[in-house]
Amino acid sequence: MIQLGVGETLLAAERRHWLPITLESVGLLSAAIFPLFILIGAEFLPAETMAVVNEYRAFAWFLYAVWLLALWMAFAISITNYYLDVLFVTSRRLIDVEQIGLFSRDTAELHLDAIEDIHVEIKGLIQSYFNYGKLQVQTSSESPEFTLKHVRDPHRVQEIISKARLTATGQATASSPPSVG
Amino acid sequence: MEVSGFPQVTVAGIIFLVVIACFAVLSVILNHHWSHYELEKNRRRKVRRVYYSGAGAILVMMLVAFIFLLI
Repeated sequence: MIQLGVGETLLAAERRHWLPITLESVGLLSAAIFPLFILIGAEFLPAETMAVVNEYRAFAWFLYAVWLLALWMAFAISITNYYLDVLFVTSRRLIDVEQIGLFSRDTAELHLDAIEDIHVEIKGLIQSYFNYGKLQVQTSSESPEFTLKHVRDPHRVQEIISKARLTATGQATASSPPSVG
Repeated sequence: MEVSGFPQVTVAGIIFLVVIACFAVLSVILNHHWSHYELEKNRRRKVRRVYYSGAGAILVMMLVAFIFLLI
């Protein structure tokens, strides 16, 4: 897990919603099954065409295996991105770990007291029904600091971050020395 | 099986060697990369298991298809 500072607690570990990866997997599965219909359908061709088909049958199955391997690699990349992406909310920070492909990983950290606004965007029927969407955490700079796609129950996450921010800024105000003059 | 003049075995053999070489290189790099992945080791292990089990099964299928091509 992440390295927490002294007195820092982990409040939530939020992951991406399962629906986008499922839809991607269904697409890949369709791409895997479609050539199979052609290969099996070729068995029912007329006898004169069968001679040509028989000639290339083993080669076609070999190419199908190569195709499957390519699809499997695409699936491995998707599942890695889905499974290793996480947003940690601690009592002091937001830590966003984003896996990019198989080899790259982007880790961004944001202190709760730097947050100005938390924006939730749930677009369309599917996202509304399955309750997932985009979460944008903005700081004082113009561009949004964090943009997290396909967050599960983004309003709940927004609430967790807001509460943590209030607690963190409250603690910061309480622990800071009183201003003079 | 070289019936129509198209060198199926040669083409398949070259593809097979290229695929095996790419897979070996990718696996070595991936193993190295994942061994340095300190965050959430259990989840990383699961991802690795999924990747190798699927790729291994498909490579075996490819080998069987290649053997059928040879005989």
